[in-house]
Amino acid sequence: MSIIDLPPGMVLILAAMVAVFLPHNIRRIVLIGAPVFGFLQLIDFPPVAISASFFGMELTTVRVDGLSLVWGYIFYIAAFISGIYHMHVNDRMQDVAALSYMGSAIGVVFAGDLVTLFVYWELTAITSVFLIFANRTEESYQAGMRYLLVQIASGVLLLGGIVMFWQEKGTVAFTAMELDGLATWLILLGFGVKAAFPLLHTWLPDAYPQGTVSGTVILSSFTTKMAIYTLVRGFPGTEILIWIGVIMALFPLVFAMAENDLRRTLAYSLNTQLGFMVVAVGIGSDLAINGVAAHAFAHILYKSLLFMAVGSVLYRTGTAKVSELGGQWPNMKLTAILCMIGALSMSAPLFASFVSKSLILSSVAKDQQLLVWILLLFAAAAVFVNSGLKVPYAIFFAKPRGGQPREAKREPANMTLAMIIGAVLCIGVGSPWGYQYLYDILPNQMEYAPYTFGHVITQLQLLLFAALGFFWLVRSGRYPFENGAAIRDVDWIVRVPVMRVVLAINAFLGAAGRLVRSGLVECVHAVIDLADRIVGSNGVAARHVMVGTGVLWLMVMLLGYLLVYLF
Amino acid sequence: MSNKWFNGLLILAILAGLIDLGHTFHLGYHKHMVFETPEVWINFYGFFGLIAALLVVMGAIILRAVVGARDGGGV
Repeated sequence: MSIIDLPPGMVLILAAMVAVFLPHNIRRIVLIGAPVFGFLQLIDFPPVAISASFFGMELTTVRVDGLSLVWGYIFYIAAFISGIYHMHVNDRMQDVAALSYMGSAIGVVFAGDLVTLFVYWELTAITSVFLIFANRTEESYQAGMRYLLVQIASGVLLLGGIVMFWQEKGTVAFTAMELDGLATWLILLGFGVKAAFPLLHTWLPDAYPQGTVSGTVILSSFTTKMAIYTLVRGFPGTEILIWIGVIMALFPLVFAMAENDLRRTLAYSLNTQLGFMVVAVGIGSDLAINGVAAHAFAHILYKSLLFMAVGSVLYRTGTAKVSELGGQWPNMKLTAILCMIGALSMSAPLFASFVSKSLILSSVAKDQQLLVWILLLFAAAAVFVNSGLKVPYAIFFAKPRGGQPREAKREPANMTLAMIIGAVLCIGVGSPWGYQYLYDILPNQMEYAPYTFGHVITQLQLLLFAALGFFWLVRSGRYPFENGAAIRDVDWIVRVPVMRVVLAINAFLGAAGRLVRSGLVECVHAVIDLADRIVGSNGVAARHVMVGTGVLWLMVMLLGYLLVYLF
Repeated sequence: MSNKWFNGLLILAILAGLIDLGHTFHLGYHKHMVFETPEVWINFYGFFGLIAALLVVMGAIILRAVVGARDGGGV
């Protein structure tokens, strides 16, 4: 097998193994060279299914088709942009973790069976956590451990489901499944944890803001979108996903608005966009599946651009908190423009998401899901407000909270370059002249024209009125209101009351254990004392007695035995 | 945000709303378009946008009041 024949994703994993031994200058060439090589390899990769036998199971270790290719292309593009953004960082651990994590995520989307999928799935969990640990703070360590626990739990659910699925169906092929038993429910839950289903989502806003500046950019592109791919592949048309998706799209809206940490704001906003994709998976029509693929593609581009912009602000000013920012426009005009391109790419005409999210909304409308459609429309406007308007406004245009804007140091040129590439792609994919390139790689044939007069004007109306409402609240003094306080999500239940109960049980069991141990020790001491009194050097049995006395005692014992025997 | 920018935004939003209304009227009454999807016959996009902005900010104010904890509150 030559390197050209390697499974997609393996190029990055091998690059990670090599990077362990390389100096920084060569490592950063590997960081951007490996994704380019992988992308070129993928372009030439024929539609194929490579099979192998493993412990009696027929595995399809590589499956290249229209659906997996969309994710493969965008993952390599994201790896390339992230590599450029990250290349000034001289940290071997981050480089190796990033390459192996991105390679594993690509491995997931080309896995044709559940066993291969599981192996890559777990690799993404184990490798990605180092991008959080790499921040090397107590908070990032704790968030990383929580993240790891959740990710491993997802793997355990998935493994349990796969084993049961194999026993029931006699196959581990990764194709569309029905929710007809515990096995598929477990698999869906395993996917759902990484896709940030409602109540399983808290790892997302908890962990992503604790990553390093570039680590968070990398994390934002892969794990959740990989999980969306598995849902598209495994559960298209599963109706329960429609309402799961609606809840995902709606509940983070207020959290994103209320958050003080802008990376947490973006994480919640990311969760909303995942909701759109999950709804479309639930719809399951050709148009909806195309919508998921297109929106995953566009979302990776613009969300990573937003994370890069906020990361840049964090790098230059030392904070990403609304309560410490404001008035940065004179200091970082280019970053502001790039950030606004990322923000407009959420919905506005000429930008990425305009041509992708509309596929999802149209598929919902065509499926006659009126209420779902209305709720998604509401979510689309609200997410534009809570991150599309809030993020650039809070950083660049709001009055500085401390009276004066914070000092901003210069950023490395590679960070700026990565953001420019991201912005160009956001415009390129969403423009009337570029969207067809995206549509051409979608898995299903369709006739869809996003740039109709009605669509453009309605979208403009939606966004302009949303902006009007937001800025009216700004002028009336009701916003901004962030004051440095943190917002509790539902994980507060686990982290505070449940943790208190666990600690109380732990303390109780510890005390009981100590009590039992001390009781046992006392018992043992008592037995030893007793034995010592009987057979010790001064014990009864050790005394010197006359032979006659001994015979007398023997007779007494025999007499006792005789009495017992007779009566 | 200065008055100039805000008024400009207000004019643009109202203009977009009026054009959209006109477009819907044109489709509905002159072309007798079959209203087979809600996209065509619902024309409250501006309303959605405005309400979404107001609700999300008000919701956030309430959320901060209810569950906001200074300095993380040990969470």
